[in-house]
This record gives sequence, C-alpha cells and structure tokens, in this order.
Amino acid sequence: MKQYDLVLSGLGGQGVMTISQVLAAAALRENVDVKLFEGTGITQRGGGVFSFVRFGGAYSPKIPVGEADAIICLEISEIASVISYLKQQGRVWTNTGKIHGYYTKLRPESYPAREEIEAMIRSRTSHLHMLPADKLAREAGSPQAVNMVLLGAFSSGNSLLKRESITWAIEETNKRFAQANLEAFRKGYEFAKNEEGV
Amino acid sequence: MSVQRSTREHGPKEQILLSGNQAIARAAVEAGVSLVTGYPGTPSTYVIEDLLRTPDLGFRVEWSINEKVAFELATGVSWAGLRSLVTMKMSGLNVAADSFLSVQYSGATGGLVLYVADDPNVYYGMVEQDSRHYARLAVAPMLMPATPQEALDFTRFAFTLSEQIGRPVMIQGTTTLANTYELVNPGQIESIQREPSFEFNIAKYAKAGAAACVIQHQDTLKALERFGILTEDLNPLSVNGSKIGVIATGVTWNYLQEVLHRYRLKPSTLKVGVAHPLPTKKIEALLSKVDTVVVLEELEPFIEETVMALNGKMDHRVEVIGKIHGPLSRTGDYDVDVVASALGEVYREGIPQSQTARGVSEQAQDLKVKRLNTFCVGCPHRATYYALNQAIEKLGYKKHEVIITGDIGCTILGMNEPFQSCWTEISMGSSISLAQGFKYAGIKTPVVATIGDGTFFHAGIPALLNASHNKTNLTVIILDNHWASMTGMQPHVGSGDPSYAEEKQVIMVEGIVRASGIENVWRVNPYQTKRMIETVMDAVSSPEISVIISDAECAIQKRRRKKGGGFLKVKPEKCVGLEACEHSCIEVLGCPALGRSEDGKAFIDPSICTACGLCHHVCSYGAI
Repeated sequence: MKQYDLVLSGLGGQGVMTISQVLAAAALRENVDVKLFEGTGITQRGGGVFSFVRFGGAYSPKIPVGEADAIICLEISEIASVISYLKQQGRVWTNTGKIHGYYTKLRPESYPAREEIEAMIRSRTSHLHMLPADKLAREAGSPQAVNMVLLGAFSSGNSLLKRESITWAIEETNKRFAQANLEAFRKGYEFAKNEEGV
Repeated sequence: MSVQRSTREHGPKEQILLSGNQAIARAAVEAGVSLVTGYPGTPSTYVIEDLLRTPDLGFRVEWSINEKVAFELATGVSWAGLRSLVTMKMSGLNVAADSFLSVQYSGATGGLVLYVADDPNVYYGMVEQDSRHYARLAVAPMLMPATPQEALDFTRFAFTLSEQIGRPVMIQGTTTLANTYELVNPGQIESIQREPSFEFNIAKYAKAGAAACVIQHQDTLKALERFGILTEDLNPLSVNGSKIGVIATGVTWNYLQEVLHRYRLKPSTLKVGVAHPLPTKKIEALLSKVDTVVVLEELEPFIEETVMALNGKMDHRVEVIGKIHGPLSRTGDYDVDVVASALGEVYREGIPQSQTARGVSEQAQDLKVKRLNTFCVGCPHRATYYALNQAIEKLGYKKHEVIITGDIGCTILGMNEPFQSCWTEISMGSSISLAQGFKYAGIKTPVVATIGDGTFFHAGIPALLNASHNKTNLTVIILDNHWASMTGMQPHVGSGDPSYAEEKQVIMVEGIVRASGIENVWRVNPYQTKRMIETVMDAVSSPEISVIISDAECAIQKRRRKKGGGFLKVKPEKCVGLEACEHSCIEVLGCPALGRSEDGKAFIDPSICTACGLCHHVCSYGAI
C-alpha cells in the first residue's frame, strides 16, 4: 500500500494511545507495515499527548512537518499542537468538545473560540469533519469512549483499513469494554457517514 | 493480536509489533538472563514494566531501591557466571556510576548489559545529558541501536559480547527509540544452564591495591579494543563515488533514510552502531573519499569531535557540517526536517524548504491552550501542599520568606500553580541536604524540605541522617503515598503490594526516621486538613529538626483497587460564583474535578471526584 501518515492528538487520559495501538493492530491484521511513535511526556498530569501512525513502510517514526495525510483530534484545542504536521488539503476529524484546565476554568474567555480554531484548520484544508464526540459517546453509553467515536468517524471516511479489521482490533485490545467501545465506534461511524451527504 | 502482550509469547519467524523498550525486554528473555532489575526512570521504565506483565518468565524481574543497588545486584549475578540486564534513565546512570566504573575495570563473567535511556528534548524532565560520555569515562563498550529491531539484535548480541570480552556492555537508547513501535523479527529463546560460582581473585575484584587497579585499567582498554574488532559489522560503510558523505548514529539514521529516499540523494554513508569505541578506520576511509561530511547525532558532537580530529590528521581537507560550527543543535531532538535542513546546506538545489506549514504553526501557537501540570484528582499531595502554604501564612510569614525545597517525583508538581510551594529540584534525595545547606549558609527563616517516599528510600535517608546528626533546625515533610507514582505507580520497599507472589518485608518510613534519633516525628493523614495545618505549624516553629510523614495512598492506586466511593457536590444556592469569590476552590486548589458551570458557579465532576474533602474545607461559603 502507498504510505499514509496519521497524527492523533488529545489530552492525557483520553485514550489517544489506545486508538493508536488499535490502528496498528488493525494494520498488522491486513499485513500492512506500520510504525507508531508515542509522544508522551508528563501527560497523565494534565498535558497534551500525540502519536504518529505511519502505514505502508516509512523510515522515520516521526512524520515530517506538512506531510501528514490526516489528523484525528480528541479535544478541540489540541489540534493547535499538531496542525503544522498536516499536508495541504489533508483530512481532519476532530471532536468539538473541550476539556477545560486550570487557566480556562478561571478565565473562560481565554479558551479559543471554535470559529477561530475552525478558521485556522480551514486555512490548511477544506476536508474538516467536526463531531460532537462527547455527546455521541454519552449516547453510546460510554462517556469515556470519545476516542472510539473519533475512530469510527475516521473509519467511515477512509478506505485505508477495513472496518472489520478495526472492530476486530478494538475487541482484541480490550475484551472487557469491547461492546461499549464498539457501540461508541458505531456511533461515530454513522454520524460521519450521514454528515458526508450534507 | 494485542500489542500489549509481547515478549515471551511469540516465537521466531513471527513478526510482532514492539517498541524499542519492549525489544530490549525481549532480548533479555532470548538471552536467557537470570535477573532484570533497575529503577523506574522514563523513558527506560517500560522495559521492566513489560516484563513484569509477562507471565512465566522463569527469571527474576524486580525494581530495586535505586540504580546503584540495581547495578550491584546485576554485578553479583554476573560475577557468579549468569546473565543480567540493568535498566535506567540517564539520571540513574549518574547514581550507579560509582559502581559502574569500578565494575567495568573488574569485569563481567556472565553477560552484564546496562541499558541507559537518554532524553533529547527532555520529554520527561531532568538533565539533557549525553550518556555516551560515560562510555569514555568508564572505558566501556557501547552500542547505539537505531530501531526497535536493532535494539533487540544489539542487546541480544551484547550479552554474548560481554562474555567474550569479559566486560559489561552498554546499550544507549533515547526517548524516540524507546517510544517507537515497529515490526520486529524475534529470535530463539536461549536457555542458560549454569551453576553459579565465584572465584577468589582480589587482583581482579578488589581495588585496594594501586598496581592491581592500573592493571585492571590496562586490561579494560584491551577489552575495549577487542570489542571494536568483534563489532565492525555494526558500522556499515557505504562508499560510492559521491563527494558528499553522511555519518549518522541512533535514530537520526532513520530520518536520514527518509530524506535520501524522498529527494533521491546518494551520498556515501557510514552508520555508527558502536558509540564506543568509534570505528575510526571507517571514518578515515570515508573522509579520504569525500569533500564534505555531514555528522548526524543528537545532543553532543561526540562523533563529530573524533571526525574533526581525524580530519586534522588529513590537513583538514574535508568540510565538516555538524554542531561545532553549526548549523545543527546540541539541544533538543532531531526529526526529518532537521536532517533535511542540514543536508540542504550541502545539496542546495536538492531539498526544498516547506514554507506553508510555518504560516499555520504561527497561527496555531496563538490558539494553544495553556495547560497546567498538576496533581491528579484526590492526590494526597494536593492536601499536603495546601496545608503547608496555609501553615506558613498562619505563622505570619510571607510566601517567599520560607524556603521550600522540592524533590523528584509527583511531589515536584507542588512547584506549579496554584501552590508554587517547591522552589528547587536537583536530584533524588537532595531536597533534604539542600535545605541543610541553606541553614548552614545562615538563612534565618524556616527552611522546609519536601520529599516523596520512593525518593526518600532511594537517596533521602543519608541526607536525613546527616541533618539529624548535626541537629540542624529543619522541617522535613515526607509525602508518603506508598508508590513511585510519577513513573507509573511502581512499588518500592515501602509499598505493600498485594500482587507480590513471595513474602516481601514492607519497610516503614516512620521506623527509619525514628531510628535516626529525631524526636519530633508526626505521621498525619493529609486529608485531615485542620490537623495537618496545625502539625506543620508545630514542626516549622520548633527549634529542632522535625519530620512530618504525610501518609495517604496515591489516589490512582486507591481507585484501581477499590472502585466507587462518594463524590462531593456544590450547592449552587450557596456558591457566590467564581468571579465573586475571593479564594475560589478552583483557584486555590486546581483540582481537575472542579469545574465551572454555565452560570459561573463551581461544579464538581461526579465521575472523577474522590471525595477527598479538600474543597469542602476551602470553601468559606459552606457551598460544598
């Protein structure tokens, strides 16, 4: 397969690494070469986290700036941390949900407006999918499965990997929460699919 | 196939996705080690974590109290003829260095491999040191894998090499290597059947005779030379007719490959897999064929300095592009763009620069939300630092009149808002001795040292005994949350970990503190806020050395074992709103469970609140 580079971002604890690993496992099931780089740091204690997933045989584990085919983002402000990796007209799937931190709880006006973030993304690409993933995850019965919702959306708009490979990988990665995660995945998939027609 | 399961379960001929750290863990399994030990230190932590999660290993894997002890344990195993692996981050090597240097001279019998992980760009905190310098200092051979496959192969080979030359062997990793996952071909798992035994030979194993030490040094130099010969193939040299050469080591090799393939460039190349001894003959061979050489290595110009020296022998005929005269940096880590930019100096037309991405990154910078690194929800340290700040205020001191020294681990988050309590952070255990030093300088106002439990066991004990012996007037607060939390809640000698299969002696902090002769010792639950504040006030006012053990388990560990429990709620009718409140709960505590609701009042997230009660204490309107 041709090379495909994907950046994932969010806050520590949202499950960025989980879905990165799911995608890697799905790729292996289809005999697609994959490299994964986990950009963690002091993330569990409130910081941002990102990962690079490179399909199809790359040398470097890190994606060069301006080269990523797509970004999956679990918290809307975190797109700012990784947008420079996106190629022109690359695709973006992002949660519209926010997670406030210390500073924005005290001064909510310091959290950038959705319109500003959207404008910044659109200066780079017109392929932007925004999902109310927090709401969709809650409707699916798992408020924590925002990551699975985004994964579903990505899967619906992308022929990179078969849907069955991803759902198989979701089950393999965590058998205990498989049903809950698959439901959240389905919700994201359906939402994005219906949005396509609009 | 779960990528979390790894190591032992897979046989050869079956490719598996492994990270650099997992690959090193796998190598230890394949090499038939008897012991893997170390101290939690990210980015090396996951080697041992991975092994601890693997059932039926058949050998001992455990965390040691500190890196020095870990290295000495491995030495015992090696000198008795069996194989061992020690893992640590670069700061840990500094701790183990005393023994490491000595053992390097004495030698190894069973293969002894030391994996040290550096952290270019400091993803995880501490000094951005280049541990390759230890290889020079210790006269130690060092291998530098570029990929997880190499991490597996080099580490596996290192055990054999260690036995062949009779010396410990170092493996150098970095954050990028540790956190990169790729498809790896594992090898056969070897079974080592050896009877342990140790020979009496003080000329080899002791250091009290000058002549013996010099001979050990000479023998170690010879062993290093033999290592260089045995590992020539790990430095592939590819010379074509090009007048441009590139030398690359570690993960930079991957970035180089990406750039060469993308822009169809064909320089001569030398991949340095052996950091020490450097392949000087191959470097000379490359220099004799090119006019320009680019040296790619993260952190220090370690290879570049040798390249310059060899170039000097050739009357400086080659232009060397690296860090010494720019443009590459000695700080931070590399990526494809850094390497492309460096090669762009030589291949001027061959490599276009990406302009448009830069425009977006400026826009993006303005939109980044500043995030606070703080204690987790319910963390006892939040309660302790809150009480400490309150006590200082109630005693009539201004905030910056009382020096508070900090230490490594979760406790150091007390340096951030909203507490801004810790003023310093040096190394494991130094909070106490630094505090003593401030007193020796004559600082008249109280000095308080804060330190975690794992850290106290690791290195704080000698400092405390030193302070006690000298009767220095200090307050020491040991924040005992029972685990080494920052690195992922590893157990230490004071943890009562129910998952232990064998009997372990749990060591009590209070016992050690009292044994040092200190009389003012209090053990307090920090969630009992009023009592905690009073105790800190007593300790700080006392003219004698005082120790408070702030004792409550790490909130994450507690939750893992025991789900459920209550949560607190805000009574909106009593809350005056976050704007109107002079000391709002959010501002004063910064707890992630505290939020702001639509109407500007405080709100508690019931899904994460642990009902620690601190916000209830802080609210002067009785709204919680």
